[in-house]
Amino acid sequence: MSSFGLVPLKRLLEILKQCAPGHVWNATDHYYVVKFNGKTYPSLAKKDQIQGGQVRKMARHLGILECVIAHLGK
Amino acid sequence: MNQINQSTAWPLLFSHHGTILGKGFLADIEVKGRVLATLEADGVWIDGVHPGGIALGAQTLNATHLELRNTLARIFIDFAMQTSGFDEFKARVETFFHETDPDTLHEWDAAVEAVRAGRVVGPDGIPRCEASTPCYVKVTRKLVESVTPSDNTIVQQESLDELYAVYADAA
Repeated sequence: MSSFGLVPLKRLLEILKQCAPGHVWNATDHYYVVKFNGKTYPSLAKKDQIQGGQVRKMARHLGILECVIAHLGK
Repeated sequence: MNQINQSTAWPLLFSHHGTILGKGFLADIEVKGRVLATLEADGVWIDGVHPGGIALGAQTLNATHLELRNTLARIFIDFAMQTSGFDEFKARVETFFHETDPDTLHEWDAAVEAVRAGRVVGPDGIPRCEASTPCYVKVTRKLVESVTPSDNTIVQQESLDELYAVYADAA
């Protein structure tokens, strides 16, 4: 998947349940915010489809990249 | 999805300056940060290094830089909305700036080595600086009495916001 490919928000939320159990999900005025592992990813686009590059960076930032890749595929 | 082609990755630095209106305060924010830019078929993708919690893309490097500025401003405004005063806001901005991940740090270092080894040539048309240039964020409380027209965001960005490629030769 290229960075510009899209991941449905609903699919991402399902993956986070599997890969980041107990994570905290919030919506701010501009972004979705995900907290897990003591870290915060504050800049997920508030859209129904999220760019693959944002999902990859969020997963890396939160330390769950391998799990997210296993669920999303390449 | 997890592979980044290092041969097309540019290690970049950026400066950003802005004023944020918070709950009962004005905050001046000055940033010198690092990002890794990757050329892709659809455009230029940027992964944040410092700060690590950002990723964005656009069709050109200039458009990506503009989106970087806007992303930072929106994040800082969100922080201002979520915090109760200047001290909490300052702490939130500093935590955001310093949080990163080891994989992205490693990729940035590898991209610097690729530039120094001549395997990658940085983008044309932007200034150069040393890869070792210190990164920092400064959040300063600003008094209303000290505000001037040059504090308006568009003026600040025109004068101070910049994107830098790293020199091929180490200092």
